[in-house]
Amino acid sequence: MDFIQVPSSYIFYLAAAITFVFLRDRTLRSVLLICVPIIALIQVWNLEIGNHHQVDFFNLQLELMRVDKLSKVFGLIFCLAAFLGNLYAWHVKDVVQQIATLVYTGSAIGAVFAGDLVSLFFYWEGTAIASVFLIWARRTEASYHTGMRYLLIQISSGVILLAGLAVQFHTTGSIAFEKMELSSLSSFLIFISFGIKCAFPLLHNWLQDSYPAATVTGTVILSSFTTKLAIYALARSFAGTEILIYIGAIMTLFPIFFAEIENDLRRVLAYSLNNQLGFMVVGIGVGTELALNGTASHAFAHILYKSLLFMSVGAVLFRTGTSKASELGGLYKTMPLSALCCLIGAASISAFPLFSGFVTKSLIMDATATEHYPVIWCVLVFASAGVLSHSGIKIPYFTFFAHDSGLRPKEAPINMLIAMFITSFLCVFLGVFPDTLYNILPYEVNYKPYTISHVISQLQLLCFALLAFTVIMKLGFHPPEIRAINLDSDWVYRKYLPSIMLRIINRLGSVNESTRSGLENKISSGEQILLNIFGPTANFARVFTNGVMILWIAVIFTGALAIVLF
Amino acid sequence: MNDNNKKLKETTNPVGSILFGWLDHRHSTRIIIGTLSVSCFVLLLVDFVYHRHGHFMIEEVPGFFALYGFLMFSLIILGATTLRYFVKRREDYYGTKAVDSDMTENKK
Amino acid sequence: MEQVYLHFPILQVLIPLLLAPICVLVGRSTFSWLITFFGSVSSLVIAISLLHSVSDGSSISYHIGGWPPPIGIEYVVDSANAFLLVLVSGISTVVLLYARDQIKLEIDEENHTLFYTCYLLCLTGLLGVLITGDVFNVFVFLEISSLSTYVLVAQGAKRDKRALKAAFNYLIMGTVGATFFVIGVGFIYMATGTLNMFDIYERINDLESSRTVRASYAFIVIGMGLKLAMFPMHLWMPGAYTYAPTVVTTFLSATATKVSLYVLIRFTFSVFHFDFNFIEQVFKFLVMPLAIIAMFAMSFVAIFQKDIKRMLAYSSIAQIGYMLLGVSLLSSEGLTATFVNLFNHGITKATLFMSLGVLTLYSGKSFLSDVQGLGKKMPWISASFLIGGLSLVGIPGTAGFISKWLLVQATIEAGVPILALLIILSSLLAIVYIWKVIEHLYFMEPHSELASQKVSFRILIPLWILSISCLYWGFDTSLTVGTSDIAANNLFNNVIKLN
Repeated sequence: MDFIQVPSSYIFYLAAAITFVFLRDRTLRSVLLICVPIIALIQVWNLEIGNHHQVDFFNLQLELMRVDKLSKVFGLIFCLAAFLGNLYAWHVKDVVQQIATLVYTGSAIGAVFAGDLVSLFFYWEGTAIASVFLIWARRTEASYHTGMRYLLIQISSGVILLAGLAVQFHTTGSIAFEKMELSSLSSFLIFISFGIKCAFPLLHNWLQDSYPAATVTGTVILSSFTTKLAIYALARSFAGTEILIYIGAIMTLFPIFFAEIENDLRRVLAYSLNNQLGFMVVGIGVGTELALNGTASHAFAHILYKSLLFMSVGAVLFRTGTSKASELGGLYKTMPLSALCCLIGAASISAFPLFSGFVTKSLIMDATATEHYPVIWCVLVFASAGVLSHSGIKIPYFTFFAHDSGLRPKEAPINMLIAMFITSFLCVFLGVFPDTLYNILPYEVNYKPYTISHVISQLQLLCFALLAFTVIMKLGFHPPEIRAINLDSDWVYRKYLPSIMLRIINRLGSVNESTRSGLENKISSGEQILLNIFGPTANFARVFTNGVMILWIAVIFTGALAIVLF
Repeated sequence: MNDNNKKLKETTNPVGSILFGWLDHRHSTRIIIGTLSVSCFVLLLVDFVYHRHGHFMIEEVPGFFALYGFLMFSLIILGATTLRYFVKRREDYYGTKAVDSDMTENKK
Repeated sequence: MEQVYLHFPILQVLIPLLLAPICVLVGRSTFSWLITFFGSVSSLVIAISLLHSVSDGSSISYHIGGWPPPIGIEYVVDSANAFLLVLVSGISTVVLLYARDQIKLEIDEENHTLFYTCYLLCLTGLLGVLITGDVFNVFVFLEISSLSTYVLVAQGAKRDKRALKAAFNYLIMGTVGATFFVIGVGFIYMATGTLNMFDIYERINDLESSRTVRASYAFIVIGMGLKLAMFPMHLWMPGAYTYAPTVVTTFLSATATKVSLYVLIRFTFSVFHFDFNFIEQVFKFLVMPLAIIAMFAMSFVAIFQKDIKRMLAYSSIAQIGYMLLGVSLLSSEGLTATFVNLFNHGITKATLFMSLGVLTLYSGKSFLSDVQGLGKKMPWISASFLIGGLSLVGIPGTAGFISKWLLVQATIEAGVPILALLIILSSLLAIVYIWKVIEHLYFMEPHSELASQKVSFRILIPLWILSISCLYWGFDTSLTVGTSDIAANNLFNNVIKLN
């Protein structure tokens, strides 16, 4: 029995090592990539509650296998998502992506079972470093830059976590990864660190920036882990922290508008992902058993339908080479199965009855109502309509229907189709039999999603929103799909700050009568100064004659003698 | 869904014609809109027959969700259109440092 | 067997010493390699068993010829030097594993036996310096290792004639250093009338005001400063490391400077009293500022180097800065950090130099442009360089992180957090120069004329032993930190006394 209690992450790391060392054959690698999550899934399913694996690190005791109901449900869905993602990526030959996937998923699962902040930190950075390769694997200059920005932000999140952990250790002597109050410096730092990974408003840009930049299969993998890991971490440490309710509410709101006008469908999905995270964050903020159940189950269902949507849009990107709404349309003719799966994903995310979103989101909505947050409740209902607008309608409609783009791509490859079918099946299954999901949630569930009132209100909301869409389309008010990008707050560091820097430097430059302009030149002139001091021909690095060396010795010796004798 | 009305029968995928073949029907748009309108009407009607339960008073007002859904959806579209006015930029705004100007993905 | 075990301290030195002349007599490359390898492995075994027996913090005293100190020469093993004995003999063994193939390309066939002889002598010298408890003996062994090192460095002349000049510079500087050192030892003898370290420690107690004692410390600091390449007395080092055969560079970078640093520590804590006012002054006003300058200046210099070997040499000088910084805190934590750093930097630099040596095995040149694109052609070797690089920078999960972490902690404990900041800042510089290599390895297209080169397993195995140990010691810190902790505490409280 001891065997099955090794940290699940080890299984993935071992597989990554085997892939790296032995597997030259592509099929074998793909098989391994599918088998590993299944093995992990079986392991996690059979785990008993408790702390199973301790490691000594300096004088600290690291808990690598803290299994309770919360970590278990996240562990399960992560394994499941890894399996589906890898099945979807069966055709990928790129060994870099495969290893990155293994390490990334392994770290995410490891982080879920980490029982202390130090091991959490290691896994945290592990997810950051491994996942960036899924972006770089696209191997374009743009993806390189995007990956760099992504990495910078993710690593910063880890560094802030490290700082928080250090402060906490210094003040309390504990590295426990437990529930904490948002009152001390350490908890603030940890909160911010989680918040970055969770894409809190204004800290969210990395998400929309990087996910559309990854490879077709990479995005599917990326979408499942990083942010949900942050949700897990928040649920573990900051459940019931009231400010999260408001942060979450804002998170559900603002992405709706951006998603509505975004042209790149994978970025639309990234915004939609952000909006869904908002629901979960609200659930954490409310913090009652019902709400936390809602967050966990919503994360579970969300990973599935979001993967499904990314998969179907990915299949389109794979076949047509673009994921821009303005270039697509009418694909249902030749990719009907992808279209069907996309519709199922859309129905799930929009929370139609009988689909998975319906049975999970309502837990959170109900929790806000029970705890009397009428405004928040209204916001969430509003956001539900918003979800329908961009994920429920925009994604399938502009990809597969709408005007005929003239593209006639082949249907998605068989492995993608199988992955999408399984995911679709799960989405419907959870929607029809919610109790299967409810049974594995952290707390006991006394909630019936299928009451007449609830079904009718939800249907009314959705159908009338659809009606509104139809009317708006007929009237021609819907914002057209055009090739353009939209500014978001990342504009600050991608455009504004650099331009300010440039201006300051130019100003300084003119004062110095330096005729050079532009940041590049300035940097190189700074480099020139360093080069003059430290470069190969400079005094610091020159090859000296022995005489000079002896002179130095004499100088230092005189200094030493002077210190010693006086 | 005007465009779907085209009498194109070039669907090569047999599954496609089973699943979505009806979309190529001349009146498909009308069918869809009709179905939608009827279901909306029925759903609204139910509210006056069946008394729904909710946590807040307002939830129990007949037609609340219908109205809220319709209005909020319109508001989203309006808001998004306004937002676009402010934030829209050319695709190559960030130059080579953004993926949007990469037109095609290498097929791997 | 019991009997042999008791004589391990002397056998530690004696085996390689006696095998050296046998090597000359044998005269065949393969045989002498076998002999050298045997010598090195047996040293390693002995060192490990010694470390094991002192791991509880005790120490072993061995009287040569049965003459008790202070008349006879005494060898003392405690956790500090046993730890380094393992490092030196371990690195030597791993280096030898791959040395055969490498020196076939780098050194003329007829010189091979002499090369191995010198190698054994060098090993003897280093081990002797570590194990002896007699100050003059330190000098003798230091000279044995140095003289053979000069020869080893000069062997690089087959590839680049500049090796001769580098060796000559090294010879001059090394001799000057040794002279300073021996003058210092003479002064001590003058003041105390004994050469046994622990005897001196007793007698020197009330001699703090003696000018002879004070001057002797200045001489010893300068002498050892030269040997361990303390900035700005490092000038011999980049040349010697760059032009020496890769095997030699790998071995020296991981051991020679470390041993000299050990001598400085040993003298500071076990011969002199570290709480002498003048010693504190030397560390505060001389060693620490120079260490900090080294950390930055040498890292900057490394950034601008085009030759990777030279870059790594400068990086070594910067790293020595970290170690000296640890010592100059004159605290138990600082010493622990330095000992861990000695060990971890030893294996890290050995990994780097060794993988670089293999990467440039055929081209023979180690400029940045010579390695570009090799990440694809030699993935195993490049990966091991990458691991070494990460460890040098101090990425969590590698050995380098542990030593940096401890050093940062030590500075904070000592109440000078500004130093912690400086350490982290200068680590960023390491990222820059390591990144330059990584960029050339992985992000550039290889020269088309370079055919894909097969590297034999004889090379891969030792290389990966080192790389994996770089990672391993990043997780399992029980040996490194545990032993260093005991060693530092013993030195700090001077509980060196014998059982």
